[in-house]
Amino acid sequence: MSRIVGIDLGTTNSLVAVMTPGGPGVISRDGQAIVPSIVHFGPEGPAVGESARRFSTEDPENTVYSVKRLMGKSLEDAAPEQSLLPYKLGGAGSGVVRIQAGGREWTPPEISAFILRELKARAESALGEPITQAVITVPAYFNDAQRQATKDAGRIAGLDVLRLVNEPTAASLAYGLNRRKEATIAVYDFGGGTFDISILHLNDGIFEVKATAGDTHLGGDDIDRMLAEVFFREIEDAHGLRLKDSAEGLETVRLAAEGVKRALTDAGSAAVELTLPGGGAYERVLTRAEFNERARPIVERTLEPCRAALKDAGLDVFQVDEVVMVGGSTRVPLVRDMVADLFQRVPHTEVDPDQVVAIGAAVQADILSGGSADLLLLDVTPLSLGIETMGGAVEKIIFRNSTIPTSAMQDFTTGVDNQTAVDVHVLQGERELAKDCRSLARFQLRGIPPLPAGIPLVRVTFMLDANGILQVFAEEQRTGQQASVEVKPSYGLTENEVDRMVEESFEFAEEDIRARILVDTRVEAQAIAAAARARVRDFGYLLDVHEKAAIENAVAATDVACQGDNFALIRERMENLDAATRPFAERILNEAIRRELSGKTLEEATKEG
Amino acid sequence: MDQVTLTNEIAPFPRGTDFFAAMGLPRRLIVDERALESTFHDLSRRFHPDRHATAGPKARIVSLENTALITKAYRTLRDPWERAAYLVDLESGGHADIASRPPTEMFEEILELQELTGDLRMALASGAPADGLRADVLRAAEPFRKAHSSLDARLADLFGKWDSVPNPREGAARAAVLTMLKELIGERRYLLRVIADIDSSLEGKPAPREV
Repeated sequence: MSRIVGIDLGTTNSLVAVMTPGGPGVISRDGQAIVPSIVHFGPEGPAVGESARRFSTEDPENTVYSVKRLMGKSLEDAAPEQSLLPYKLGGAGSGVVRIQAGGREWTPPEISAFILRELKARAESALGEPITQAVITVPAYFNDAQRQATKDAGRIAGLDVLRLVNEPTAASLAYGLNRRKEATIAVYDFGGGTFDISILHLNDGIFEVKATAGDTHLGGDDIDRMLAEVFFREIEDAHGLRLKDSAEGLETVRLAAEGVKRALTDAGSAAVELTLPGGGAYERVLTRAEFNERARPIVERTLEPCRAALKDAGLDVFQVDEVVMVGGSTRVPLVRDMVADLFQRVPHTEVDPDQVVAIGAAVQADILSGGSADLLLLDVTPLSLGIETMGGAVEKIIFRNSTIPTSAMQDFTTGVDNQTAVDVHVLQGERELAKDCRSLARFQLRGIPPLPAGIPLVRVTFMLDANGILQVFAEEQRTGQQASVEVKPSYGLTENEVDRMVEESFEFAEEDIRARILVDTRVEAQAIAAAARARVRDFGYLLDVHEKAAIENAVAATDVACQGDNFALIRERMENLDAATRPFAERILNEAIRRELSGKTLEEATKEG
Repeated sequence: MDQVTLTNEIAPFPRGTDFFAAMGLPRRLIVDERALESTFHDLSRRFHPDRHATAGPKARIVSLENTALITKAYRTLRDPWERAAYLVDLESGGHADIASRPPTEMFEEILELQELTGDLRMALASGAPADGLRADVLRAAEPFRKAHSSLDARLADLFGKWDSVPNPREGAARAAVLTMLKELIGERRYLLRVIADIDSSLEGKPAPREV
């Protein structure tokens, strides 16, 4: 069975992690674990991550970032975002917003799929095996459409998404808090674009979420935007320039704002210096005190969901044993202070807040593969589920903070004689009227036997699965017939649309995965062979004839393998070479130390040799 | 990696399994809530979809449905009032319409209170001095709060009565307890609504929507 990876698909950054015999760990390339969630569409094709980042000022219209904010949204929902995004949105009236970049339109799941494909490729080249299954994290407060969009993104990227895990819940797994037998934990997750709070009860390896609350539109981005607004205003006042109107200006100032925010994590003050179009300059020093004052209202907005979650969990702050901080925005000292203030205790910040979610996802992936058998997550649905009744009211059938998976049954009948279909409208949200809730899906119960009005009885089961995604089954009770249900999502892609995108995506997966692994492995093998050759040349005097021959043979064998396309053979020879040189490496080190102790430097010692 | 037994097969619950049966409990009302929690955890470890993620589609459906059932069973049975309402419904074959029911002996007080909360809302809305009315509402609310605070003890008493007649042959005695449970639950629903009404009137808010 191939390994299941854990993926944190973030607004700003994404990571992939996996369980190893030594514990869960993130996968890095060139020392970098973080893949910025940015996709650039240039003439030479799409670029993802760090290589896309520089285009955010060079070619902003074709550089897509923060796509997570658009997942599961229609153009109408996303309208408030448009003025802040340098790329253009479209797709009016279709229920799914489209992103215009690289000369065509993309849905948010397709953009996210580029990021996922990059993470998948990284995992494949690091692990040397194809990866087809993943656990992906989502904000706890994501609704059905946002969750479904994330799952669709996985499918388009060629990943079978075995489970969506809520980010704060994943983080609690990463913290290894299960070493405590029983505890109540609050996870405060303030990321780039979303905020979540979850209250969990841990009992003997079972992580039971008691309540969750949040805001899918509140994150560190909001702090950047707020600061950028200050800079825009001051630049306009002093220089009469409206930088906001150009995509380049928007990006330059936004990045400067983000830079200042980051600098103020450790420094008491930070400076912005911008060269303005026309040769002028904007210089500004921001103290931490001023920053705190300006950012406070944004951070305040996270406290209300915290109180709401505590109330729903039936707890007061003193009953919380541990507070865990997750997400890059929890680096902001003001955030830490305000959270400590609310919960009356110092929050945990030991695990890198950028990595903790991915690591938790890897633990969850391990649980799904049958490992970590003592652990189990019991999560909740963040929003109530209801059905529209006569007059536009909503009848709730599953309440928010219900443990999932859960289900509810509802009976429907006909209003006129011989009616063979009934329309059902499912909604998500806490409000009383359908128009104030989020439409989740509409469907029609069809194939009802023609009978007098009110006689047919169609029993519909609404099942919220462990991912928090709705599934619907229906059965006519009088005849035992399976009524057919075709759920049409209100804000999402249909099955057929996703299938088409999966097919299309193959053309973008042009670097066939195997080819990619081969290239990466070859590069690695050649580097190791070159290093071994250099060592034999410089330190050969430490080896006897047989050892020297063994290493030289292993180097030659690796070179030969690198000429071919057999990835497994290259890896095998590379490992043999590594095994042959390992005792030698120790000897070099010992020799160096010995020489060092006798007053000679390593270099002198080698020269003598 | 060791091949851990992933296909620890699980059978679906028989159709129509009730919450008591799902949790392995008799249809009694006195429940050890700590033991219930640990049963829920044990069953979750067995049935949860995370434990069957790589199993076949059929096993995954069984896992999903079983887990949904025990989750609902646990949520319902761990709360004494929900447990009581569930039992009443179950014993009446799913047709117990438990209606909100004003305590008849409090008829006078109900009328007075309704008038006072109405007056208070009006006074607060118009900005007229309302301190006197507020005090009146608080005074009139007293008997209702008292009635509310005695509910749990009355329920516990009925739990004891129900559990003392476990034998289906004692049909009449059982029916009598079920009726009393039904009335008490209805009374609580009424009182909760009255108290919500009082609280919202004190804050000058409109009466809460009927639930």
